[in-house]
Amino acid sequence: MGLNLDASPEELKIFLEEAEEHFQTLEEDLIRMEKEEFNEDLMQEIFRASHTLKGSSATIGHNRMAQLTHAMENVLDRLRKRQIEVTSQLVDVLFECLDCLRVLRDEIVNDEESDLDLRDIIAKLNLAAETDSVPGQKEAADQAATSASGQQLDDGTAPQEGGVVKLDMSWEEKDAVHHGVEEGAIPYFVKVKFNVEPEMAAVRTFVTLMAFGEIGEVIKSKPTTEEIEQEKVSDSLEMLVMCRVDEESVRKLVQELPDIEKFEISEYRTDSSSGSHENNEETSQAAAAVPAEKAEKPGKIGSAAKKANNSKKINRTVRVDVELLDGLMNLVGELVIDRTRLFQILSLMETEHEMDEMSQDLGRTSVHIARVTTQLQEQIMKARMLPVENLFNKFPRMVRDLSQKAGKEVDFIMTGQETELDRSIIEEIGDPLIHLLRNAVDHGIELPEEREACGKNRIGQLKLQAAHEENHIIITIKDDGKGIDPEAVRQSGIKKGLISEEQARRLTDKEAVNLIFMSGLSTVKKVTDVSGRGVGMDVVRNNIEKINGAIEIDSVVGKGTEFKIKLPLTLAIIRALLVSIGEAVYAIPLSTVTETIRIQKKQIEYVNNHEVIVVRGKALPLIRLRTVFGTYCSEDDEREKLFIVVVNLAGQQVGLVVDSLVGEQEIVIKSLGKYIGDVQGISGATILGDGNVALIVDVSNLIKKAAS
Amino acid sequence: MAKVLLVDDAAFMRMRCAKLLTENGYAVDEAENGQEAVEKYQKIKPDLVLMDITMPIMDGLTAVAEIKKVDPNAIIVMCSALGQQNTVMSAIKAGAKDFIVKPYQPEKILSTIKRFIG
Repeated sequence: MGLNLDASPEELKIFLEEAEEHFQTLEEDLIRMEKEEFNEDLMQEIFRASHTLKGSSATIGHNRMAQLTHAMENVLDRLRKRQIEVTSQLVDVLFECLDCLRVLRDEIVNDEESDLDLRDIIAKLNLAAETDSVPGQKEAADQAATSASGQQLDDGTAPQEGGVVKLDMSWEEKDAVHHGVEEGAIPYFVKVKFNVEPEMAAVRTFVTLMAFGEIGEVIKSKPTTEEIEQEKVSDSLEMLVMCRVDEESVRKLVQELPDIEKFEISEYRTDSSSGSHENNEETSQAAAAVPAEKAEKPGKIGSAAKKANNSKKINRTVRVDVELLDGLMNLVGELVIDRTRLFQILSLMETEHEMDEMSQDLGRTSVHIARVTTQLQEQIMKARMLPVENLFNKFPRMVRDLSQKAGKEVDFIMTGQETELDRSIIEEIGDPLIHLLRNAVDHGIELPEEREACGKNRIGQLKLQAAHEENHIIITIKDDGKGIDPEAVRQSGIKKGLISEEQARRLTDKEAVNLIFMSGLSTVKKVTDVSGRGVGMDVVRNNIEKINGAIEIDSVVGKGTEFKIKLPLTLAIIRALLVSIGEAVYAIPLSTVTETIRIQKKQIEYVNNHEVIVVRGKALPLIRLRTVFGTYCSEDDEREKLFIVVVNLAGQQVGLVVDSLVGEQEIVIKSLGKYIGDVQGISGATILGDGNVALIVDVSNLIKKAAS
Repeated sequence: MAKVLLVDDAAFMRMRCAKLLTENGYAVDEAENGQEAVEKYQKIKPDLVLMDITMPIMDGLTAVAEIKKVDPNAIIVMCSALGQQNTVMSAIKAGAKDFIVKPYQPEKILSTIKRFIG
């Protein structure tokens, strides 16, 4: 079912953008509200966010959203007035409300009403708004409650439906009328009935009274100004006005006034209108007070904070389909290949042919094209970048909920939210990060009592950091919890049959800790609904490696654990080390390469029938790419000097044996296509500058193979 | 052409209102908070101001008082949501001429503006 909203697509777009901003504000501020001391500015900001949402959603006709934000606003209003206290239950309810709002927002996106039932959450909000006030402020709260329910009718001022037009007049008032008549004014009796929201009745009455004050003198009104101010109003207003205009003009004025359902106007005749007494001039003015003049000036004008102008800039943006960006990236990839190719042709020409004017011209143009291509590549990459903020934003709430559930106290700190990443990487990295954060809260950080017993601060620290480092983005997740016990991992590995006791003994502590990335391993004795089921860390690692990233772990028992995730800036173009094996050229993603070593064949030793070399006192297992890929070459045995490319993933190091190193280059990743399908040890292909195809080595796959 | 200054922190509301007003022959200027409204008021001297109440930096009530200081004859119409009647009342006392309630009904905005500036 469509929503039938009253807004154009452009309006909806702005609405959605703003709504998202407000959701974000709410999300961040609610957490701050719970953590920090009462802060009026913060409370106002929260209130404003919800208030604006209410106004905007009502305007586009999203009634359910308007309804919910209205209930939310009531709670927030009482919160900011300190009539109710911030409790974690209350924050829970507000968060639940925020979740519902997001569902309602999605209704707009999908143009389909969801089956979300709002009754429950609205009831909760209403209950929260009605809870007992903070002790000591109860009175104020009660007062506010009565005035909030404002529109009760006072019996005395109830309208006299259909009754004879009559206002009880005091002697002074009668005299004022009389005096006015003498001066040429005409007394009119006006009765209007409003069609206005009950909440606004008092203000509407007031404004109407004021409007009459501008064309004449209001001698008497019912309700009176005082009654209006006390909100003792009904839906009607009766008054006696002295005007110098004819009835038609008065009628016209009333017709122009808003919110008036019906009205009566008649000339008023006092009994004594003819029998004149002229000795009461001095009293006339007192009664003829025009409400506007009487109005007291409102209190603290100008006390509102004049903060630095942090107004949000309206972004000049165009919405672009991600597919279009992918396509552009692909095209740029082709250009990058051609750029490399052009340069190769150019250098060939320079060395092998005489350069005439034309070829020099061609050379200059090639250089220019290369430069433009580089810029184009950078800009398109930038267009695909999003700040990780978009991803990080949901984490504080998640950590809060998790730690509350686990009974832990966690101080969650995020830095580097402005760091930008390719949007497809952001999409991929979300789940692994959630998993790691959950682990940290669930298993890393100890219960407050445990922490105190170890002499640590009750409150655990969890840091999530993103930073740019050379051509990579590094995301670190660090907790100061109990760390991972290598011994426990060893035992678990043995028990699950993943490694033998012998193997376990030989593992260094660091290697043992790295076992957690193997599938089927969990050291947690108790499985919670959050984590500990043994699926996870291997998935985390796979997901990260799938996007050419790498994860490292650094854990100290009793001190905490740090995960370091290294991610490429983009998925489409990577820097790679080109190596040759026989005739073929292979590309090894540079992000996995730690070093290259040149060795003599005789340095190779054998352990359990596996080839290894000793590098700085440590045995490094070798993998011969020639064997893996079955590259044919007859003179293999004759080669005395070999090149080893040392690659590292998740703490595991392997040496890849290659014939020679070709160089370092930016390559554009192309998939092998469905026709060829998955090939062990190969993650894709690229086209080199000379037009040849080079296969991209799937390092994580090779390392796993080596391990098994 | 009569000039209207539209003050609201929600770009969405401004966009919607501005469209309605320009379509009906008003020149529209926008401000996104009270402070900006006061500054713009002095610069462009609009014939009428549509003033939101809840805004960051400077709220609508304060802005009414500030504008009235500069120009006691300023015509300001408050834009209020339900639940803000007390603030509206204060704004009216501070010199605002009238108010309209969100969600806006186009006819109501137009008739209100028309009443003051034709």
